[in-house]
Amino acid sequence: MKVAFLVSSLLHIAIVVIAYFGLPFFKSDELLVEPPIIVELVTVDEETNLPETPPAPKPEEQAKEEPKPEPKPEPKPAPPPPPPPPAPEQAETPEPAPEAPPEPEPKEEIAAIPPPEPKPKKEVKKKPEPKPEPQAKPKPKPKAPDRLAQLKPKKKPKPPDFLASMSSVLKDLQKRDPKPAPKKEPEKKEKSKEEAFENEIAKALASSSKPMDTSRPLTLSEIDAVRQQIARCWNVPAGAKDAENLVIDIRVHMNPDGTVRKADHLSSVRMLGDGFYRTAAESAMRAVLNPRCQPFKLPLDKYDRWKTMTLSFNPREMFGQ
Amino acid sequence: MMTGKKRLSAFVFALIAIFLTVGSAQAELKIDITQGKVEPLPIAVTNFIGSNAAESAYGANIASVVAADLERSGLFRPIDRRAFIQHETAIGALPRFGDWRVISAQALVQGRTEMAEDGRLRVEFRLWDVFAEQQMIGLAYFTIPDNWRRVAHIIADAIYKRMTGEEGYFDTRIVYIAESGSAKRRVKRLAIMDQDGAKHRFLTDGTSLVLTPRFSPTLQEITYMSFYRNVPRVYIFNIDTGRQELLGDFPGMTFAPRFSPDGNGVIMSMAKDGNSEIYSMDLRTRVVKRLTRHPSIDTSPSFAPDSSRVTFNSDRGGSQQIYVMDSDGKNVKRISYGKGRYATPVWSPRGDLIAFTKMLNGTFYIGVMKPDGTGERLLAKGYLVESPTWAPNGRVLMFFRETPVGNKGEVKTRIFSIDLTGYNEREIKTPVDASDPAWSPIIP
Repeated sequence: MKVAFLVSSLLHIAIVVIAYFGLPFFKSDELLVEPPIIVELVTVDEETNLPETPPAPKPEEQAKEEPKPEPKPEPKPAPPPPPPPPAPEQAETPEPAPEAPPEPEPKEEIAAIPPPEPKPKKEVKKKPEPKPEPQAKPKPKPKAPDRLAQLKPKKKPKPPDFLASMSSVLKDLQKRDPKPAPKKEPEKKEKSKEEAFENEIAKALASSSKPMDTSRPLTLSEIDAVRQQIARCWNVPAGAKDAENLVIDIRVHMNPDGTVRKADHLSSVRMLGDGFYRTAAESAMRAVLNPRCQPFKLPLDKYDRWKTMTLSFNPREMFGQ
Repeated sequence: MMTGKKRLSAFVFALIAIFLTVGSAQAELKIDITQGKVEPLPIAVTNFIGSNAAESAYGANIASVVAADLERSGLFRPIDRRAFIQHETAIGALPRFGDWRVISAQALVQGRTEMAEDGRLRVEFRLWDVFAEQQMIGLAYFTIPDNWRRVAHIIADAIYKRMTGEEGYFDTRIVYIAESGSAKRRVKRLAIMDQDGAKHRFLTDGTSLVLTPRFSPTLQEITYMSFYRNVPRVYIFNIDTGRQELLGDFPGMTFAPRFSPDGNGVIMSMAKDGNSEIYSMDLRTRVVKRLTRHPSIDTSPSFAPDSSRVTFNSDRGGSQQIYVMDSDGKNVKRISYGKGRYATPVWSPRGDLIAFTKMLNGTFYIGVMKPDGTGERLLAKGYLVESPTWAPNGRVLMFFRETPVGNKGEVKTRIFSIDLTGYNEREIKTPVDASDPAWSPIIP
């Protein structure tokens, strides 16, 4: 009993101590080591792109590529280029993520997925020739079922259902890569996994943008470009009394080509009574209407967002002392 | 009932839809422009058109004076006439704005001169906003032909006011001390000229020393100090009549006379028994009132534009500094706390700033500060810069600068103008050395 009691009490004490102090001792070092995370204030919207023409060509390429996976030796080179291609794929098939999980070898497959995309264009030319078998396969590819059939033999048992649901293109890509990777080197797989992960995130992000959401806000860089354009033409009324307090809002109606169709003062009443204000308002209007600073560099695809906008001229920064 | 409910729900839906659309409209893109540039506005001043050679000559002269005035302000950049695409601008017709935009003109001045049957000159002008394609102002003046230069200044003032929101200052004059002769036998005469240097003439013959001329804010009158028969006294000189009047025979030395804003009084410092104090004097009653009582030196008083306060110079704190007090002499408060010594405070006609001369480490500066002593800014510096005077619109300052010439102690003094922003410093051309400028109010 005593021994049991002793052990019990010691354990309790240990738990209490841990609860009180926590287990920070080991972690403290790690925290110190961690480098600060640098956050760049770049707007997420940078990726927005128009619906790409590339999607159409890809299926063909992929078909050709399929033969490549079988050769196995060449899958390695693929991983490096992955970054650029992901975008187009995403546009086509937003569903890549779900596919991976169902399959028993999800990780490997996923890893494989990213690399194939980038390479396809380059590899296509070289690889298709070596093996006649793959060529035969590509022909049937246009149809989803055919592809599935091909895949199955290569990899072993895998659910055709998933494949069917997914876009044929993506599936093909995934299948080729997964097989070669596992056989050759695990390290590469890991790398490819990371890339795959990044790609997936990119895809997830891109998937939302696919429909070309015209209601999206302009990015900071896009707004900055316009801001600087107008600033070059804005002759600030310096020296006026309380010039730093003269804030002028002008609503502009834009043409799709970035030129100003119409511009109105938002507080035209004040212009009548206040000479300084009228001067400031007119100087702002001249900045807006000055043909030297047009057209504004705004993305046409977001025209709905900047069709009408308000330009607020605030000279305060210029008179900061 | 059912239909009623449906209608109700439809109505609610419509309301929601309206609110949503309104909400999205309010969330429209807004871009803050916080940076611009400060540079002269390109303006095209065409020759004013006349129907005969004489009228055209007046027109060309007027246009060039207008352009020169605007250019000198530093806020406008008249475009070279050779760049004009549309030369003949009939004042009755709408200008071809596209032609003016091509040469970057943002404003356009066109005009016409005409000799009336009674011998007077009719000058008409219009100011156009080239981008907005609208007339900003259009006026016509009648005058005797010899007065064409003044009409040009008045037109420049009208353009300046319309474009900047501030009163112009081109139709003004400068009175200053013209200096000639060697350093030992310096002859100082009172001289006057238009603000652009034209129509220069001497007001005194130089037999007696004259100092510190100051313009009346309302009349074409000048106060100044003259050592007539070696007795320093304050005089008033009427420019139009040429009449000179002794303001008063004060015991001791009187210095730095300056008009009150309504022109009916003078404020000055007077030295009695080796101590100078500030006095004000009503010009109508000649009643003198003492404002300061302090054993230290108080001098260089200047009224605020509303006459409620006076800024002056005193060493009561141990060194020369700027003080502000009520116009009855109460509530004396020091406002200059920077390094160095401060002198010659002058209240802006706009009321928002006080200009001063500052001495620090052997260098002189012209600067401005707010009446509460904050926001000190130095605009100009030199071996000797002194005597700031405000343009009537409180936007431009004039001062004189003395620079050594050679090794024999010779100096040359020149008058300069500078914008309140510290830009656009320009020398005012004078036939001889010039010091102690005083800017007139707008000529009535």
